[in-house]
Amino acid sequence: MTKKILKDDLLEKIVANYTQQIRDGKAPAISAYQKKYPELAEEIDDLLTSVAMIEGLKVDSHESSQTNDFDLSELKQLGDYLLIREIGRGGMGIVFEAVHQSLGRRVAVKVMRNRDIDDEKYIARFRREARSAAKLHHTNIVSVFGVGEAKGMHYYVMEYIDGAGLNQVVQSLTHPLTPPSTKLADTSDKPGVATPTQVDRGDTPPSVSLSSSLELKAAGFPSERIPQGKGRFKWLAQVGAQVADALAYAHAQGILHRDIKPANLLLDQKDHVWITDFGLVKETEMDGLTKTGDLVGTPQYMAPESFKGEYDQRSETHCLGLTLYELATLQPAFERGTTAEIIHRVTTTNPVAPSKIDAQIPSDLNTIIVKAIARDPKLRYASAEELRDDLRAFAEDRPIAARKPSLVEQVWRWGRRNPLPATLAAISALLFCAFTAAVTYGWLSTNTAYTKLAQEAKQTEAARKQAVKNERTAIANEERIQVQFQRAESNVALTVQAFDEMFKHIVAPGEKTDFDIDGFQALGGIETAVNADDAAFLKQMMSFYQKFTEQNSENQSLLVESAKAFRRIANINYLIGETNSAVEASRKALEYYETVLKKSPYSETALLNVVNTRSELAAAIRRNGNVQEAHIESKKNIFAIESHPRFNSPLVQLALARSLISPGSGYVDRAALENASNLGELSADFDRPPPSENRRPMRRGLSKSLDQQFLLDANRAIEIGKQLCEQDADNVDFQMLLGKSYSSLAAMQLRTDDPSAIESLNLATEQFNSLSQKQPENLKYKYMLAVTYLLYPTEKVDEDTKSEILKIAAIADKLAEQSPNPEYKQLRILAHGKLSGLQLASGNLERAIKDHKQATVYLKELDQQVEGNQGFLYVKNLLHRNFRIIMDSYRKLDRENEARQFETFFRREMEQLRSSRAGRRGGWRGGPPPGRREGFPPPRDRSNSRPDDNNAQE
Amino acid sequence: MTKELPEQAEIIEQLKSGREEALADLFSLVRERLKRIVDFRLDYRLGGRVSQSDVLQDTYVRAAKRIDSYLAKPDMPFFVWLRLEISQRLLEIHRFHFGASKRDVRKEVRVTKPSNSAGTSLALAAHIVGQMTSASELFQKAQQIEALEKTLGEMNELDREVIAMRHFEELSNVEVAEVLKITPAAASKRYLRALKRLKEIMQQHAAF
Repeated sequence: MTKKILKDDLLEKIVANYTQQIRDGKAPAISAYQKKYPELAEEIDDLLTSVAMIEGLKVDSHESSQTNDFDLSELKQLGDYLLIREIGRGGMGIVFEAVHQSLGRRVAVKVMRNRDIDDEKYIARFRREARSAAKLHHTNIVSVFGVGEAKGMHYYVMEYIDGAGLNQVVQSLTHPLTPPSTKLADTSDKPGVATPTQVDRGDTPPSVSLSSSLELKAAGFPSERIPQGKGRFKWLAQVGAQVADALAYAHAQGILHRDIKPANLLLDQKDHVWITDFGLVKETEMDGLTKTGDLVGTPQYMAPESFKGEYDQRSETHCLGLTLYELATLQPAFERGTTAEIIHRVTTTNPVAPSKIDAQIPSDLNTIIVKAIARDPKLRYASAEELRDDLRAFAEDRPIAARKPSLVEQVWRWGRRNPLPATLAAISALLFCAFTAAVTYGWLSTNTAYTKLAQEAKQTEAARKQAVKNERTAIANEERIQVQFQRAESNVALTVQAFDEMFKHIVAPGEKTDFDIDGFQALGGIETAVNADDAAFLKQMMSFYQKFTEQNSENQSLLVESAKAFRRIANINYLIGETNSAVEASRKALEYYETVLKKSPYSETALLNVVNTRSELAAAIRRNGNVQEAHIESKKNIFAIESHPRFNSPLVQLALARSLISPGSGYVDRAALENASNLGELSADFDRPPPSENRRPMRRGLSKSLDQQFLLDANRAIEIGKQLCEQDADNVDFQMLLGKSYSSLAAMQLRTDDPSAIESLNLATEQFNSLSQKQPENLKYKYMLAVTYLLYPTEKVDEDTKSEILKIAAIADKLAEQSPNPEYKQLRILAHGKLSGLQLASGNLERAIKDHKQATVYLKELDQQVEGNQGFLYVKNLLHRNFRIIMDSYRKLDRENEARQFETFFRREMEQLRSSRAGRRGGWRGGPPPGRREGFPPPRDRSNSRPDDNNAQE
Repeated sequence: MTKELPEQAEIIEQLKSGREEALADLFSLVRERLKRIVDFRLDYRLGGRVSQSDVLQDTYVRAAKRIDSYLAKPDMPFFVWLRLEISQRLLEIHRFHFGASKRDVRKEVRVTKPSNSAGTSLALAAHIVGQMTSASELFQKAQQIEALEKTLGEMNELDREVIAMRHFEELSNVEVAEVLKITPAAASKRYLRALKRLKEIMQQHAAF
């Protein structure tokens, strides 16, 4: 017993001693203890192995003094190389200026640290990499001459460049008073003294410095060589372009540098940049050589994905981006700190945009840098060439290719990837905005408002806590969003503006111009392009606007903002189907805007605000079924424009034309739909007469004289459109207007069975065709084109047009693939439905069935996305008609089995539709015309029907 | 390395005479060690929001308030008492940020958090290891730490805690004994047994 205790006591002492030794940075051998206490050998092994493993995971903070002992001051000669002076030292070795004696040329020799050469595999790799780097010949890459071994030391020979690292350049620009010392004696005598070249190391101890660079000791850099002011930015773009060009070259050879940072980029006397250290072994793969792990890049200059062991050419452009960032802002993108802190920052945060640090930094340069250093590699420049081209373009005052992602787009983009935390984060961000506004501006800081907001913030916090699973991402992103918002929203007008940007981003992604609620979005009854998530988000935004109006509507200096807030409340209500609320809010907005217009009667903006808001009001009224009243609002618009002094301004003319066609364009989609579903004539040769209800729903409630008025208006809009296009042939808005005007005219002509409708359609097609060729990436034009194709009456198409119509399905498929908007998906259903109709008309039953089935499947899919929107009545109508025709043809051909199969398929699919339930409730047969909105289910209904709907989805 | 604390009796003497000043002096002597404990015990998810030095400062304020009651009944060594104060403060912080569901941090060995994702391990690695020489090394260590997590996860709670205190908080055997309220001999026995057990499990995993 006593013996056992004594033994434990001894073991405890051994373990404690061993632990302490390791913590002191020594690496005692376990066998030494075993030799000393042979009777405990086995236990010692067990215990100390465990200790070594645990301590090994945290040993680093104790280890500090390994690299300073590398003293080569006595070294004068290495092989054929005569060492002249030490010019720099880094984590990997010491660089000397040397003379290659047999060739008589000046070179730089990097002597590797001894500890690196213990491993034969490592040496093999060292040689291999040097060999591949020696193949690089580029005017911006320091040539590698070879590697050698002498006196037990491995070294690396490269071209000698008389220049300074870009880290020194930054240093000289931030501390221009530092005298450029060209003498070496002062500092080289004191190895412990930090030289100016070590600036990029920050406060990390020497052993932690990962620099493998040619750090020129004490060379200093005359800051006057760099152009002052704006010139500096061009200069740095040129420098960056040189580096990018060299990287592009190396990447094409399959060689990555792996440690691009200011210290590895040398600027020579002629402002020529050189990338040095190509081909030095840098550990990034997990291949068993990781004990030499300190050879990797410097964390501050590493791409986030490097920490996951991923590295490619985009990582390298990222690193160059960080260098450019530093050259532009004169501060590193990521602050210095411990390695762990830096890694945390690099992997979880985005650097402050350069232009926020220095307002002088040109916006294009800012865009280039921000794009280059995007955290997600997919958002960066895809290659060094692209970065180079943009840098050159900037340096030469040409437009750059990188588009600046807006703040909102960034948030949104992220949100698309992480729906749940995004909603939460976005909500808190919104509240945060409101909150900032409240704090910053006295007028909002009434106690009630403040407390309310605070309470909501608390609730959000609680909600966030619940999402513990997503918490980490939520926090990081929340912080990021908050920081961004904090910077952007320094005053309330800006807050409103930011909300506006976000709003437009949801409603009309990618559109630069003010969004245009009047359009063909209503195709097939879905009047919104918003899905359920967007709708929830929009409602949150609306609550901000509502608070804003509650607090500020009496404030005369915030009239415009209040008006805008009301307008957005209206827009959102319109989009989520709350038409009555939309009308109400629109009227309120209009009232405010009219007050503003009265105050500044000559202002074009004020006029346009009034007109556009009233157009939206008209759209809402029209949706409520009151066409006459809507028409009156449009007339008011026309009157307001015609009596305004700026009547002739192009934008006002554009607004005028839009008002003119708005009543008509409201029918374009209906006409398209009618057309697609109106297959009565086609089924004439079948036994059963076609179902005839709903043949002409558009006719209802409209008088002939109104039709005439619309026709006149459409023609006038076309004239305006033509004039505008003449004035500015490149303006896409004008061309779009013209195209829409033709479509509107065509829709009206179709209503009156005017044969010239086809001609109008051809003209519209021409416009949209040219637009979509001009901007193939803009899906909107393709969409308009497809909708116009749908307008062609099926029974009257000639062969040429028919082949065009066949393209609709292709366009629609492509659109829905590129952007899963309900609009596009809906178009896809209609297109396939229409195709199916065409096939039936030409007796091609099999293909008709194929398209019909396709349309049915797509409908079910869309139905799930929009959660039982009743607007599918039209679409369903179309499918039912086709279904009946197909069934008829089967029976006619005595293919009863197939008919039954098809019936089973179709009925099953249709039963699974959510909207079929909603439809039964609303009842379109014999009810109001499908175009009217009374039956639009309020959102509450939708959420009620959600539980069982989920089953359908699973 | 860090300066040693005086003997316990001496500490009590100093505290009784100089009070606040003495506490500040003694605190600064062990600041590094305390920081290591915070570093280890502070949930990595709070890394961005709660700084170590804040926790230390809070702990100091807390200790200053409660020093009288400690002196009235100094039933544990001064350092162990400070550690307890840190634990209490961390408990408050964690409760505040994660709600009451969070278990008592004093009993929780953080490296055994259930998540095995590389991200967690990376974050753990970043915090435990502090200054790391390189990212690839860090990456490799993240994997090792993940393996260690698994291993520790298979041990019983007390063994785990002993190892954590000895190696991550760097407490001495005597201090561990105080924390666990057992004799130093018993603490040592537990520790040695835990190390052996660790080796066994490690061999099973053969991950090292």
